Amino acid sequence: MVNYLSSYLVMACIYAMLALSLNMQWGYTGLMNFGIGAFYMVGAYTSAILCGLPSPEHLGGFHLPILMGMAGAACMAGLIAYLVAIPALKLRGGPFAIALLAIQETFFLIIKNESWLTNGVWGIRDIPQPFFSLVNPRFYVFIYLIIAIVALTLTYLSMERAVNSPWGRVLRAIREDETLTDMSGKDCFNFRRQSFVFSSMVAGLAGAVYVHYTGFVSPQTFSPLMSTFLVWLMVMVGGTGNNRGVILGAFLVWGVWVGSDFITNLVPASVATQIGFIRMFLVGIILTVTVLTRPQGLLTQKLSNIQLIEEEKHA
Amino acid sequence: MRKRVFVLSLLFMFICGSLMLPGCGTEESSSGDGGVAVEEGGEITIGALLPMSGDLADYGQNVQKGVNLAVKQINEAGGPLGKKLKVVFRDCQSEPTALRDGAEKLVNVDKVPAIIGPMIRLDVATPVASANHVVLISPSNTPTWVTTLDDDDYTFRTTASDAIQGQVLGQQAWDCGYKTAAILYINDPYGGGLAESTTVSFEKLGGKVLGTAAYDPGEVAYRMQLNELAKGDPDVLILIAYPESGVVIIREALSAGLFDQFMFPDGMQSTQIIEDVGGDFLEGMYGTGPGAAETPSYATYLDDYQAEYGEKPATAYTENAYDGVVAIALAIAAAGEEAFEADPGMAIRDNLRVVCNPPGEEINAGVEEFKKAFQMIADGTAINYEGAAGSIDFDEYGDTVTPILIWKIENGDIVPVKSVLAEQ
Repeated sequence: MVNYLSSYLVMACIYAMLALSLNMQWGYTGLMNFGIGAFYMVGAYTSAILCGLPSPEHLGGFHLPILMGMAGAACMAGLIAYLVAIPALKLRGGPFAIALLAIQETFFLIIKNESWLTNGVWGIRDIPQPFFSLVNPRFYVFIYLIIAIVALTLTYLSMERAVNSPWGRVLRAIREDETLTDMSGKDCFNFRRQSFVFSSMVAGLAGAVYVHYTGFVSPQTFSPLMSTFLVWLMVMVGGTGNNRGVILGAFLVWGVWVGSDFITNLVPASVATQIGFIRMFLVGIILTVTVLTRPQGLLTQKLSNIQLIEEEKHA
Repeated sequence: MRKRVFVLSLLFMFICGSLMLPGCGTEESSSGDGGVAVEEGGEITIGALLPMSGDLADYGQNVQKGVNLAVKQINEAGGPLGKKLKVVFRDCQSEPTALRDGAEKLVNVDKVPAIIGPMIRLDVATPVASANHVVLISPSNTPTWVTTLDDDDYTFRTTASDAIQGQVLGQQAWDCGYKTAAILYINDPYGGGLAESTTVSFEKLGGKVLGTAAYDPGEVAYRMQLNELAKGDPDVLILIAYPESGVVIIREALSAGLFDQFMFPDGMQSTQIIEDVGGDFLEGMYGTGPGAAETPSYATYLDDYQAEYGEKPATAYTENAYDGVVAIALAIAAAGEEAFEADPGMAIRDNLRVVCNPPGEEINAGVEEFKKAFQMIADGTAINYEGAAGSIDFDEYGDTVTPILIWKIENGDIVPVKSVLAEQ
């Protein structure tokens, strides 16, 4: 039970990192990124290739230290985000979302078909896991839980630091009114690109944390449902524009997603075969209820310093 | 502020609640932390990790019927060591992350000693299972690399490796008199592996594969791939596909006049293709599929399945899952008290070959046979389970060699021609 709880927490931490990454784009900068999974995938594959064992079937086998793999994953995701940003950030709102959706699909097809690079649909196996030999493999998940929590905490702290800095205030200004920000002398395109690249690096890091946990990666993991829309759900349920909120959202949504399976034991056998649909149904209900009752998400945005001062004045 | 605290605490309770559910669901079946899923009243719980939703939901739900039938019959026969067999089903959603999560649930929450499944991607579940000494028996994971997984011998499968079907498919193409072939395969591990082994087999016999191409399912047209493959005018198109896209491909190939001879593997062994394309066009085409040798075991299985569910198995691999459950039950019986001690998974692993491989009295499928088997195990006589899907003799890698059926389309129906046993 404790083992399972830990494995749930590891996956939830990874999803929380993705949700933080998306939150910076959507919650703070107003970039409707429907392709967040692409950077997650790029990060996962980069780390797998950098740290993996030599194999005749695909590129890789550099067998680098895992920290290098994680750094490489973040850099590669950042680099690709930088290149993608050049054309994509000219778009706004819906068209931007559709462009990113298309980009994710493109990357998905590349990874699936270029088997010299990624071993195609077979995926990459035997990816090294940090500190694996230290303990009985049965208890390895506890060690990884520490790694995942450290990664999530670092991400959270740097995100908080970033969005509460003057830089973060510019992002929020862009979200609220881009023209106005432009008129205040800020280079909006540049700020949006910085936000996009930085958060994509976080998504890439999440991908690296994922592959070193499972020791395995294949394209099926990065279906739009699992790698993009679930993350969106977490952000929306948790509270757009609130870093603590989206972490909560990630833990909650992933808990429902995997926890709904346990209901199988409680329902009659004839309904048990339909459990997959019950899960979708539950998640749908959560989204609907959140949108209807708390459109801002469970935890609302923290007020900025200026608003707080004004409130104090009124009080 | 107070409201926020209230909402937060509500949330916390919800999360805790949803995570506690497993606790109450299996409290009775996992007595303490001994890692043994045995109940006081005499129940043994094993797990099943099947795709109940997602792309393979159709397969998962039918295979579940095969599993349930086996459990029912084993229990009617008295159950291993007089205990009742019980199965916990977990959904793998046809998706690796959920699959791993399902394996974690079965291993750490339900604490089962053995699992039927997963149907795909054994490599994802293997690290979780073998680290915890849990046996995995996949009914359908056919790729060749499963053989060499680093699994501490905890991974088995009751279906033949793609290498074997590919060998038979290539052989059959050659026997039909085709000298050149083109291969179009679905872009997944199944398609890729089968395409490779078919090519090797066909070329070894002297044939020539002029082109291979992969396709992604669900597209509207496959003209591009077909035009490419038709270059050099190969004699036959070996189409490794599933019916949904397969039908579209056959129609296009026929209407454009690119191919008129086809060969199919198990994925296309479905009357749907005949209904949708038209039997006239496919008359006399050959294909291959798993098992279904005319053994008494398979005949009994088919009768029992029809008696239980009122229909024939709608998809492949139901009998493979059935055999997996039976093998586990017999292994538990053979392991005796060891199956409840510190390491039941290891005991099952070590006894699977004892009950499934020769030498020993042959045991077929069916309640009566199981009764006999349990009696013989109790008496200390060696047994050799001959499964519904094949003879289920595990080799040193946990692989089995199931026979491959060659079938033919005749008068708008799929007719079995013969069953062959390929050498690995």
